[in-house]
Amino acid sequence: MSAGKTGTKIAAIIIIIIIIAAAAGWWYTTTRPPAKKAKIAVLFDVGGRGDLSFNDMAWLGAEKAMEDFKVDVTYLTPPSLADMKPLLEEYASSGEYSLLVLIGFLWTTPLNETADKYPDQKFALIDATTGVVRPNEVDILFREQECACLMGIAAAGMAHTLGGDTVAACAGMDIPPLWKFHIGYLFGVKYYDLKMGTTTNFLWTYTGTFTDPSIGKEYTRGLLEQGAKVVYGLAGLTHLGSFEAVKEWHKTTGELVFAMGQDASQEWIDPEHIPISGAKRVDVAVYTAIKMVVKGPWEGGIITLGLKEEGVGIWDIDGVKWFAEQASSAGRLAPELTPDKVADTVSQLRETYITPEVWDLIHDLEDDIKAGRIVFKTPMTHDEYESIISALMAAQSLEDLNVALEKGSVS
Amino acid sequence: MRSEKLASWRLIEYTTIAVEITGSIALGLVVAGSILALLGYDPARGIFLLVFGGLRNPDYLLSRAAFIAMTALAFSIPLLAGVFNIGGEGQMYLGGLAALLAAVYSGNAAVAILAGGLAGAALGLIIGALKAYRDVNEVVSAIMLNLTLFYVIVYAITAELYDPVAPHESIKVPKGARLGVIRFGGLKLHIIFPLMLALVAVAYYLLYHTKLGYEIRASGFSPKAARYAGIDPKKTSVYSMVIGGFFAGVGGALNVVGFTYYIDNLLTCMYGMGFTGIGVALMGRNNPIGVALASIFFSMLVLGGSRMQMLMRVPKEVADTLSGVIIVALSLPYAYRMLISYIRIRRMVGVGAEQHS
Amino acid sequence: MGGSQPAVEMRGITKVYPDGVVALRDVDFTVRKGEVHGLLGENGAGKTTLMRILYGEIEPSRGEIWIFGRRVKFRGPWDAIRQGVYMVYQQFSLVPAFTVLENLILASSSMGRAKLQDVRRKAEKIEREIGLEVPLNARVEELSVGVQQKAEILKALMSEAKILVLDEPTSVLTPIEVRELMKLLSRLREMGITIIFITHKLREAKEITDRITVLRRGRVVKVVETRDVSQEELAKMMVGREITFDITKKAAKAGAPLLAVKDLWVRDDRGLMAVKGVSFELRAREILSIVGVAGNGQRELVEAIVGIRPVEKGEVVFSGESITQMPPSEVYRRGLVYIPDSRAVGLILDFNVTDNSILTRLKQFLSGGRILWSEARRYSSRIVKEFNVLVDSLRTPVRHLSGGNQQRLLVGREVASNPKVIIAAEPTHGLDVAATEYIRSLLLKLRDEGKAVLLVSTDLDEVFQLSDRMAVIYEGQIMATGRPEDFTAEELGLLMGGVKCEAKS
Repeated sequence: MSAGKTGTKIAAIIIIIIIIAAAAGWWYTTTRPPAKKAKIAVLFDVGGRGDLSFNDMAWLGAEKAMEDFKVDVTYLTPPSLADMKPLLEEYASSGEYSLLVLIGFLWTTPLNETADKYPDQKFALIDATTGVVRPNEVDILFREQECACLMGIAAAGMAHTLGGDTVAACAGMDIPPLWKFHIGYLFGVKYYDLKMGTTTNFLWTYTGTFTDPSIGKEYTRGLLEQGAKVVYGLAGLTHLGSFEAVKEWHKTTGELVFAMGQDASQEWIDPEHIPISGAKRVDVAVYTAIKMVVKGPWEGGIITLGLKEEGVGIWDIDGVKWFAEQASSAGRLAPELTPDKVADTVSQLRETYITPEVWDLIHDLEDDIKAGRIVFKTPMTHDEYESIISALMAAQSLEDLNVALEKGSVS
Repeated sequence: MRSEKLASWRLIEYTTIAVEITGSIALGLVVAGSILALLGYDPARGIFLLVFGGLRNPDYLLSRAAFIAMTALAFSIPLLAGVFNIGGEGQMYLGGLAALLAAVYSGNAAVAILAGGLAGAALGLIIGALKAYRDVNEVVSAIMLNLTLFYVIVYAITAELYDPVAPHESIKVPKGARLGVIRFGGLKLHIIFPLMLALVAVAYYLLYHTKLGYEIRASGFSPKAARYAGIDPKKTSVYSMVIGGFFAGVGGALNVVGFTYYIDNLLTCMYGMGFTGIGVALMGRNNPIGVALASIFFSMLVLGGSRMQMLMRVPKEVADTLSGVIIVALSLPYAYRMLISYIRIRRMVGVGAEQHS
Repeated sequence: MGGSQPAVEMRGITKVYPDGVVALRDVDFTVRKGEVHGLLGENGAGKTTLMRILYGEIEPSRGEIWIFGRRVKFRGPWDAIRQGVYMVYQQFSLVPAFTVLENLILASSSMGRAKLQDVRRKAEKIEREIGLEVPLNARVEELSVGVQQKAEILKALMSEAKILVLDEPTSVLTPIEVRELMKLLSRLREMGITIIFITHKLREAKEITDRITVLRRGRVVKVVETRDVSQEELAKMMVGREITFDITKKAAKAGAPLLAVKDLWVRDDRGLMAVKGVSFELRAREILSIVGVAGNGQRELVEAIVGIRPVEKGEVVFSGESITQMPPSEVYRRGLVYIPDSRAVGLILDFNVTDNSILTRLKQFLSGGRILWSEARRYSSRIVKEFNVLVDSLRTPVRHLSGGNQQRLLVGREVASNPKVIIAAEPTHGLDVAATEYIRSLLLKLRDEGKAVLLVSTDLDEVFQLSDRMAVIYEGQIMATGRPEDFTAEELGLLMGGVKCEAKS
């Protein structure tokens, strides 16, 4: 009983504080000076900035837009998924922002539930789609296959230079975005084989998680034991374990093997073992969205960014260096490394292990894709996905490869 | 001399509490303000936004408080019986999942909430019974269960319950099983908030007006006295865990059936809210009414943190740190007093035992 | 240091606790070098507080401390030990699972590195010098309390203690062990060690000390040379008035048997047999005392009777019905109530007066699962009025009540339900004289009203004053039963120490 009474006293005190606060809050919010420039808000994924990947790249694009278009960009990281919808509604209803840029697939459902209520508010959803076309919403997706196939050629080339014949990938979960990577990567490896007349073993494994490096390490060790020379990390945090496994393998067996990163440039993590990373340019997507609002023309619907739009690709040495600099200023770069050193090491590795012939192949395929001679169709169902993979595996000619891609239903 | 002392204890008690609370708030604000100033932000504006920025959106504020209050009760009720329920997190996950499934199969929100509560209660029963009858430390078993459940549920959502249209999300709670909002003119309010108030009232009634509540509090304050009175403190501690688990499970259910309407495959819709409940429970002095208020205050900080990020470009981490500082400052005196009285009781009972050993 | 310097000099010591309680008021306390100095006082007079201040455990609110002529300010017991002050509590600071030697090493290693053989050699040397017999290789938990106390003293001597403070050292000992302790203390005095002996037992104070400081309610009453005063004079100083045990006891007219215990066997918390075949019968209109040194199975016995502790073997019959292994709440409901020896067990100190009033009677205040608070408050205020419990409100947490008022509430609660049998364990432990008298008269009044009282007590005065019959318990067995006048003090001492004299009943 005494505890109950104590509670009441505390209650009274807290209520008084809240009332005073509310009054003050009202006064404060109504007397704020109005903004002058066009305002844009970037709403991050739950992780937020500092990931040296997705969210940081989004901010990079926003900063560039800020400079080029003289807009005012602010950002927010929601505390949890439960907060996304109310926050989105709050910012949409305020009417203060010309565009709300939403980073990552977690925003899909909140956006779906909000977009129709605020027809005057423009939204851009990055790397995901609501599946609904609305005049006030643009969804920006990436054609990851176009990047993965280039990585496939590079991987096969490096594996053969290293004296092996096996390439592998350590993937996260069996979900549609990873299907695209699987198809692209396998396509690239097959393309290499058919052009060079080699046979390359292809290993693909799902770890079932995007968040557990120890599992990634375990799986990658298994891949290396099966003879893999190059392991493509496609599992978010999980594949950080792949990087470790590759380094340890080199140390314990003396046999050099490589890992490849994805999305951001990840060479800086271990430049001696990561010569190359696939790029998913979230910055380009964010920049594109902001540009559509500021310069026009704005048109709702889905936009996909591929090699042609420079939305995906392979990180060049400048990109590698930029990420190393970011890592360095965040204190995450290994103490013995400098951004210059990272760039030097990586370009040397690339020169040594990716031969000019391989680069030629990569550029050829890039040109074909940019010119629309090769089109990756995206599978809608797991069955479609499986049939594409088995057709690719069985392909005997370049023609077969193109036929295989036709099995997808979305272009 | 005696009666003088008796007359003033209450004054001393209330003054202490008032001084504690104002002191804590002042300390929390000073530390938070210094951090802001040190990082080069305007401390006055930052603190203002942090504490009051959330008031702009009352519905969001109160809804968020609803599930936090549940996990806070999940911690404080067992604590009153002397058990540390660190498992609110896992109990909430499981409750959320059970509620989702029940909602999908029954199409009824009440059934879903009950299912969530029962799932959480079952988990509480396991932890409580292991503690009471097998002497398994409840903190250890709860932490292990939290982790295991996290992965099991992530798996369930990713592999079995995903929405084909948005594969990172679970299937949705059917429209008929959703708890919606009530509207008063232009204002709206999610139903889960009044529901939370009702549940808090139930918890208060349970603790202070029923036999079980009496026994829970008696066992927590002094297991020896409870045993003397014919109360089985072990059994009571298990009951308290069942009730605590129930509230955590209901918290998960309210989240899923009353707010998000689905679970994402990384569980970010619930992640961390069980642990947050611990701080909120301490801030609310383990009293249901205090817990309800503390959960609202905590929501203010979370929402205010978002405002601060948005308007001042303060990184999320800094905003979280500042909320943390304020919460710790508010919880510390109580946690400290609780610890002291715990030690004191043990010592007194120990001295009593000394007479006979 | 100079021989004329006193070993201990405490000047103007005042201690006020944060809750406003004044434990000590301007106390001057001087101990000469090499004497045995008695610190005499009732429970709560401030003896232990004063010594804990000397030992650096509590900080005085005011006052100065001088040891061998040097002003000191101890930050903690370790500081005191370094200066040669060592305090032996009633609760020993030994690790039960360690051997004596290991305990000695533990103590010396906190003062730097200690080598096993060095410690052993030193311990053996000390043992030889003062004729102390402590088995160094035995585990502490296997030793009797008396030997544990010797080990504690050995530990003090190992740390080169010059001033030894003993807090009620005889309270846990049998009469024989007490005699041994007295001998040991005389030898230590011969070796030049200064001893402060805290006690409230007049006989011991008179027997062993050279000088005595008498404390009452936090003030020094008088400092006397022991040989100049009589026990009666000491008692007067201590209590503040003549002790008149003027509780008149009517002759017993025992009625029908109410409680019978038949061949009861009970285990203690460690699983060891603590009660070994105890049988007795308690009749209406009588007070039966269970007498013995603490820890001889008394607690296990009563807990088994009321159902708190499982019964290994045997039967408990109450009013003609077996209540063996019945849940405690049911036993209480039938009219057999129990007042435990610790108020921290009988009451929940964080609960308020009303909450505590229904602790053992919860079922009477329920309707469905709901507690009928208005009835509980009515009942509570009845207890408070009837038993003169001094509280400002029924909402006051019991923690804020004085010991005497707590005990009145506890006893009142149990008695208010009009029970047939009352089991009272140490009902006056730690109470002041007024409260003690109140409780004792109450128990006698209950007896005269036709109730039966089972008194479990280690306080011989109380036992002689109240009992109609008494049973001496030793290691879980009843050594003898009889009327108070059947025993001489000497006989009782022997029985309590486990020595059977010619058979009594």
